[in-house]
Amino acid sequence: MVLEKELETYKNNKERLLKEANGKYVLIKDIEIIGVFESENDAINMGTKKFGNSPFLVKKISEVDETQTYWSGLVTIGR
Amino acid sequence: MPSITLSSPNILPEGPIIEVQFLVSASLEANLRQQNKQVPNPVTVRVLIDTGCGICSVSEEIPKQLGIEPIGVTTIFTAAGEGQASVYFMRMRITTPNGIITWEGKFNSVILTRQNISGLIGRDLLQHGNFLYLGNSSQFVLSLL
Repeated sequence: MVLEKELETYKNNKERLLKEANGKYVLIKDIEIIGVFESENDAINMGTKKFGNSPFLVKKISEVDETQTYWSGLVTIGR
Repeated sequence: MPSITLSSPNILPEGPIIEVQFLVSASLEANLRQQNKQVPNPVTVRVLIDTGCGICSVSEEIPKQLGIEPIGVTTIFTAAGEGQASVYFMRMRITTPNGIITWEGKFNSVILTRQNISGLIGRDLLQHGNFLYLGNSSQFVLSLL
């Protein structure tokens, strides 16, 4: 799965991140938390600066993950 | 505020569709140039302005053609059920008669059910401007700050 290691890292550190930085954005590469940022764009730009065109995770630190709903029937899932 | 007004005889069956270009993000372009690496050429496609869509989304082919890597994963809910979508950070450029609109942001990579479009412009972009649908004249206007 894409960004599997990074998502696992977030999950393993979620409790601490919620206490310390709820609502902010964490930048994770593999098993390492690179930093926490006030803005999502700052986190993304730092990730690009450090890692170029390689996968990294930028995630909003929150109790419940954001989801997206597509109402118009133009998007489907899986195959 | 750059704006584009489009007339379309097909607006009733197709909806408000515009041609756009997708590019790598500005920071990635700078990173690639600094390393003397090739910057991917823009990808030109048609997208639908979809007020039923919360976040701009693209066909899975777009990030593949640009050769870019994801920066996130999100859960999506569709008429077909729940799934996961990779998230990419890119630029989308719209050329208008009075300027170029460039939107840099997150795009969900999704499977689209329509063959004639490669993306959806969602409310995350529309909140930064105005979108008018003029049905009786088969036109629509999109303007962004």
